[in-house]
Amino acid sequence: MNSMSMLRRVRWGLVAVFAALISSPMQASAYVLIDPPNAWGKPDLPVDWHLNQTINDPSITNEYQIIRESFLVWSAVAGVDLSFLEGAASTFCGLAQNQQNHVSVEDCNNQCTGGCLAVTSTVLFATGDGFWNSNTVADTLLLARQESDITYNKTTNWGDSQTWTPCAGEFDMRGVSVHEMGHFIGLGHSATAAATMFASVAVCDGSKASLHADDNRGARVLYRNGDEIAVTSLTAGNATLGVTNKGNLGYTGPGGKWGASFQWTPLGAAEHLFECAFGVGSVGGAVSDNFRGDAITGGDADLQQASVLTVSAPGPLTDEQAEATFDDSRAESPYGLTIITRAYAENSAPNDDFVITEYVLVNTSGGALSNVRAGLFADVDFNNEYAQNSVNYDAANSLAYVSTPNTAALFGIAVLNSEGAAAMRALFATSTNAGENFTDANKQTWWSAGFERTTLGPADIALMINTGDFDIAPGDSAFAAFALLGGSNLADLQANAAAARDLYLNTISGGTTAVGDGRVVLPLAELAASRPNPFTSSTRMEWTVLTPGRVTVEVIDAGGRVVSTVFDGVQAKGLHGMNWDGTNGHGDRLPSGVYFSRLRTADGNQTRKVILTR
Amino acid sequence: MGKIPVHSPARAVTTAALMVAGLITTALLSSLAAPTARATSVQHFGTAQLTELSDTIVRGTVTKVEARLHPEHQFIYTYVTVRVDEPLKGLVTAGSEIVFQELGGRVDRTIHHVPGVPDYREGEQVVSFLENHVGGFYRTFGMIQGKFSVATDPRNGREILTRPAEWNDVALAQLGSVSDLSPMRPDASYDSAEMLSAIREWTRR
Repeated sequence: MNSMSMLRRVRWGLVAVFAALISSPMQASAYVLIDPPNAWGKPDLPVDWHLNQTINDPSITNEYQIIRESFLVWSAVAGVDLSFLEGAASTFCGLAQNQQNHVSVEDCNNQCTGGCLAVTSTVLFATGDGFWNSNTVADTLLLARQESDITYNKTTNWGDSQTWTPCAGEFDMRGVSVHEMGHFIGLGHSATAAATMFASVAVCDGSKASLHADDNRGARVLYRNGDEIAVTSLTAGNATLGVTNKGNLGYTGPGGKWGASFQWTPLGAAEHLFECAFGVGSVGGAVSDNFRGDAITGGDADLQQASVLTVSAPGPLTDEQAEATFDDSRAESPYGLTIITRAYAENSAPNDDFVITEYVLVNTSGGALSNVRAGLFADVDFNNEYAQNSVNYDAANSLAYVSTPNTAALFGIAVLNSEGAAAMRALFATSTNAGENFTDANKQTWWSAGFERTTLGPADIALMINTGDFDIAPGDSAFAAFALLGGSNLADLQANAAAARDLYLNTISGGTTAVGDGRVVLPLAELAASRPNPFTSSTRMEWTVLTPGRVTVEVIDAGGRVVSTVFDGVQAKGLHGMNWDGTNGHGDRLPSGVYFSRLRTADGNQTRKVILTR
Repeated sequence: MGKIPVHSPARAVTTAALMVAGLITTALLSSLAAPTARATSVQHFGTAQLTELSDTIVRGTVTKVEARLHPEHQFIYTYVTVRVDEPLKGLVTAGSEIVFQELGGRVDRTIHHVPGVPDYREGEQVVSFLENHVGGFYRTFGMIQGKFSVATDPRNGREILTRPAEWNDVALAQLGSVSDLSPMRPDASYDSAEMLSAIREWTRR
């Protein structure tokens, strides 16, 4: 990394942190974090809270129950690590700093007056020397959340029975409560009208008691779980590519550095991708992607990993392979796609100047999907000369490429599948150029726009390239593949793209079971390699279920005999796992040797080798 | 019908009654933009409702803003001293000073953050709708929606009243019909003379 690149990364980080501090939501998101941004940390979980019950009034029993259930609405959000623990009844009442989170139905201190229905306060402690007022947060101000209280206006005409149905003149206490709990966890008001966290609630509106997808999304940004991104790097021949289990191929912005970016030996250790991420969406529809997405900026984080990331060297088809599964369940409007991503790298010429990434789009939505495109967004910093990069496009080879003045070498992204490129757009990498913000709306426009702008620069550039259009029947799948490659000049880059296409179409794609019009029958469950392997005392087996149903994971010996059943039962869609301690069904220690873990589902079987050493 | 927002290209207010009607209409119709931020649920009042329901309405100048920890409540309030330039409703007199007690604030390194509370700054000219609160204090009625800042329209030099930028921070819960429910435009501003005239007319009814 040269100094310019380093400077850029530092600058990016400061901008992002400041943006987070002033809570300017990225336009990609409708949810908004509270200002100044703050949330409960993992050590705070479960967040304890206390009901004020100093007033022994049986008429508010239902209200207490509604409050309890309103907390649970947030902790039940899928993909969220957030829990609450109700403590003993509190004598504290109203908004007060007392080292306790308390909820008062009675407004003891007249703090919720003048039309107020309910109010939430948060106690923050400034550990930095910055300043804060309602509009401005200095970037040096660091805040620690210490407490949050909620007080209701008991005189409100509440609809607060357990069986409340919208009726004239009443406010739904459940909806207001869920809304206030949203503030309690750190959410502001959403721009999505149907969201519980939208700024307004109407008399008799009972719709806010249930969370909207946008509410869920905001909660995940603050409290996402199971989201420890898995990163590896495939290094074969001249090319190295960082890959992850959620579609990102490199990332060096706020929130960490993911993988090795893309490196190409002739240009040394320069990292040519600032960020690259997979996206999928139909023509005219939204794009589910993770580009410009992370928990800090509140940006896009539509893709949720659904499996571990496995690496094999040698792999079944190439010298190195990686594989993972993710889905678009975090998108505001998910397509219901499960994406199996694979990366392939070869050690020797002519296949040593690229890494191939393949995306198997499995339609698990239950309905047909049409005109689907899959592609990549890439913020390219070629040769660490980010301000001088230029983008061009070679239509004949479905090849987008980037040049820079100080070398004849090029970086490129080529579509490999037979459909070729459906759209390509050269972009500015920064939002300082009007219209280049990576908003949901802009991504959607670019995704469907074809080839409106294919050249750009010299500038700090990015690009988008996709392929399609795919019509995918329920349970069916489609394939998209790209090569990220380097070349010493345009002719060499084109030759490398041709080699990548040949490898993909004749070896990789040809190594799968094609049916009908070229689509492929996929296993509907995936068994990952055991870790550690070999093992002595215990190894972890993980598998992904794409279709809910009966699942059996067992261990068989070299003679094909089942020696242990690790799991046998019905499982939901998602990632599952169990440890195996090297014993048989009677608890007896098995001898050292080669065994096989086997996943069995109604859709097929899959087997992995596992080695036990004593 | 006359329209109060200064953004309206054609204003033709001829009577105070029409101005009041315009205010009401504006309050009901002028809020179609998406809101932006923060906490607290409060009923949404049209300007006419604010006028009717507030105990006190003043045009004044903020002379002092100070946050203090209330020893009994163990809660930080921000105390806003306002010199009354023109009383519009209630038992206050021009030239007197009144004190608002607003929720939240910062004392040293401790912040009690209550979104939806209006932000007052020293030297600021305001039109505030107030409730007569306990302890002899006043408090902005309807939280953030009850405060207007006095400003000058750079296009024509006329005095305008603007909602604070945080206007949409409040979760608006409205008592009226469905058509009343949209939040106000974030840039809603009003011609000061027309607005004040309408308030005076309304309070005389």
